Amino acid sequence: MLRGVIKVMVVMAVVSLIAGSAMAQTKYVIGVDGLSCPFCAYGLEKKLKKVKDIESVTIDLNEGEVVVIAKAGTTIKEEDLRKAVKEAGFTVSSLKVETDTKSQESGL
Amino acid sequence: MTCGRSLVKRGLFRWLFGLTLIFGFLQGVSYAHEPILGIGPRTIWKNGVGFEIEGERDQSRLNNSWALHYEALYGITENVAITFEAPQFLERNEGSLSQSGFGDVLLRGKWRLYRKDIPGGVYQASLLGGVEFPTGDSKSTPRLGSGSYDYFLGASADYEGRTWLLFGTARYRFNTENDEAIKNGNVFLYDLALGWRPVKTEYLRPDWVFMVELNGQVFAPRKVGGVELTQTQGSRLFGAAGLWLTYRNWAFKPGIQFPIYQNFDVDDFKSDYSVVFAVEVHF
Repeated sequence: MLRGVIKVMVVMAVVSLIAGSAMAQTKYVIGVDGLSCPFCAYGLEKKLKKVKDIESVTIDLNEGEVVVIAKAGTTIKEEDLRKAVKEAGFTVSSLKVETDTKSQESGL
Repeated sequence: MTCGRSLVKRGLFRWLFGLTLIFGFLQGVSYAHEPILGIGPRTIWKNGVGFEIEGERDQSRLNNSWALHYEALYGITENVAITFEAPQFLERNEGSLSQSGFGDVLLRGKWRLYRKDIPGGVYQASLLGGVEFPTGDSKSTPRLGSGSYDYFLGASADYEGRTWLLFGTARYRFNTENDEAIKNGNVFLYDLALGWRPVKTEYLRPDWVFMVELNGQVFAPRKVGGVELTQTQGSRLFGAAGLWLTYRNWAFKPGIQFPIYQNFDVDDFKSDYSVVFAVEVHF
């Protein structure tokens, strides 16, 4: 019986690890040149939100950067982000990728 | 000769008001990041769509008008945009005579051939071109349209930063002869504008930019039946003040334009003031 319990615990631990890595969210911090005003920044929001698997877009005009969060467990192609910024009428000056792991309550 | 003189007289008086107010519409409706009474170099994002309604009141000695301008904007690419504009005169008054209806529609293109993005700003320059179609009634009194296909070419450049904005535009309008042998004089237009954003507002906050402008026009003489009406040539320079108030994808633009200098032989060509208020939205 004890062996059975241990087996269940190992399986649940493995499942939790897999679920944990699947919940990792990727954040893209894009430096954007040409961002002079809120009204023209709307086009940037619009173009970026059309890129697949984007969860959120946050524009910081004073810092001249956009933070894009991908949906959990997905990544976004950098060329798609660059293309969206270009078609919005701006220029990418830098692009940093950060991965943030979220843990999920496993119930153990 | 008698026929020619009659034509000249008819041409002069029937177009007196037209020169003053039709050319007032040369400025066109402006996109949010343009001088309120002029045109700037900015386009819209690729496949972006914009709509604008502008109310305009013009007063010129004994003549005046109330009009609405409807505009649709589309971004073919992030550097090429086209605009369709239709003016509707709610009331166009020439002395005791009054008329209402749609005027000449305009199709305008803009090609931004230079853009240098910098942190928090941009330098850009565009070529401009357009054609005005004779869709307005040119036989009514007062006239609502020119009765001719008219064209313009121009260029615009600006610097837009987080605090200061500076615009410069020059355009030349080529007018053709209508079926009454009347050809409005060609016009050279120039604009200078300075904008000031007192607070560097963040995205998703209301944004205020105060604008001051100089708008100039130089008119070549009108021709009627091939005869030049030298008293119809002249020039004028306007000052203007306005405001851009924007929130996300909405823009509200009130402005007032007043004459600084007017050099016409005929007083009726002189403008007293113009007031505009526009609402614009982008999708």
